Amino acid sequence: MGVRREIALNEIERSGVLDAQEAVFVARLQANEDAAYDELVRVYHASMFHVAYRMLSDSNDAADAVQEIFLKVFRNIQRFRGDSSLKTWIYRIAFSEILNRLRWWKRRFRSSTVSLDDDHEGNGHHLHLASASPSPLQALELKEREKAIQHALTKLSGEHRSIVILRDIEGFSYSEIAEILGISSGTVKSRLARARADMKKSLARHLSIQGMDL
Amino acid sequence: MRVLSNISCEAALELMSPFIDSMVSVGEADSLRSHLSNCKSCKRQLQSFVSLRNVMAGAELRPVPEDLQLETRVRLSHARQRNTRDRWQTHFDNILRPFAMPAVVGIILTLLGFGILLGGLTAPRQVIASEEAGFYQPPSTPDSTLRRLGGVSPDLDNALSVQSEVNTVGKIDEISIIAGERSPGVDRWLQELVLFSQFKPATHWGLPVRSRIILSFVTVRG
Repeated sequence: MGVRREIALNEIERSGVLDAQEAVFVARLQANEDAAYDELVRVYHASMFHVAYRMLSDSNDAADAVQEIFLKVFRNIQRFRGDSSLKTWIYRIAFSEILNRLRWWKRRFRSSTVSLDDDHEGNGHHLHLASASPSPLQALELKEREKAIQHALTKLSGEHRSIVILRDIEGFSYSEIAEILGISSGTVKSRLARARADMKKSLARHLSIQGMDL
Repeated sequence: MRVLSNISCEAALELMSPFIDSMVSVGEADSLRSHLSNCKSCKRQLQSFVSLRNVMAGAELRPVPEDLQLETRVRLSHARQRNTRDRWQTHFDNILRPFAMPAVVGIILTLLGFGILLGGLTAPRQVIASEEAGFYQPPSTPDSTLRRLGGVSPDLDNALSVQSEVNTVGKIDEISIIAGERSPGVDRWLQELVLFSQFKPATHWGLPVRSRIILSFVTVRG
């Protein structure tokens, strides 16, 4: 196991993209260390779930997608050569899996239905609130806004939705988004502009326009 | 280099999204700023872009299912174990596969060889018809018993045949004449036969069993 880890580490360090700490972590994953996989799941499961939920609009589907994403990470980790950061590589696997699911749904006419989970029943859809105890009015506004954001996202195509989520929610750079989605930075820029324009229309009621200095 | 030329609202609108991400060139940024300073409509558009970005960045997070982390770890662990097992299985198969066919052929040839050899050495099995009888011993009696009783038998004009049931202690339980004439003398003699005759009972697998015998008597004159 130790020799295998050393070899993996040497190969990754040669790529020069990863810092030493991340290179060691990847080498541990490639050496199939239990603790490394536990750490991987602990660090990434929440962000994977949030992204999957934003894309799929269903908690169960999102949870299922998250498990599949980690299985794919495990199955492909030996091919990871450190050409990008581990995070970018994991997101690339995640979006590949999620977009495949969306295409599968589209083929089965499910894309027209918007789940938004338990909203219709009025149970569930609890939010992580930023402040400890918002007033009932604030909580209602947050819930309304969250619902509107998710609804606006579902109105976008899978490609546009991916870009908006990666840029405006996850905070990836244009080049990272290009790498994750396998498209050029120019395409990212143009698609993001179109997607934001659509989002702006859908969320007009929730956008505040104030004076700003340029 | 500052670009002072003005741009259209359409062109300004296209620049707004990359502008808020600082993904425009210095020249494009200057052109946009110049346009916005004179176009309130586009300025509002830019403000809405900024507001959208803030709203999205501040979007609340969906709570992660409590058991997701554990379930994922378990599923991943199973997959990793299966993977390790499969890898060993493949390794094992690769080692054994070259030997598999010769081994099977060898076993078949060995079985055939032994079959032929043993078939030739073994005597053909014969069905022993008297196998059951081999474990059955018929009743018997000392010669003296019947000779003594036969000596006092009545004169018989014809041969007398009797059927007797011998019990498990060698005594006659029942007796009946199956051939010959019946008379008071014959009956009395038969009663004596029942009383005094002693047989060694028949045995089956060594255990005494009831049996049936036929005795024939004939008077010899002269």
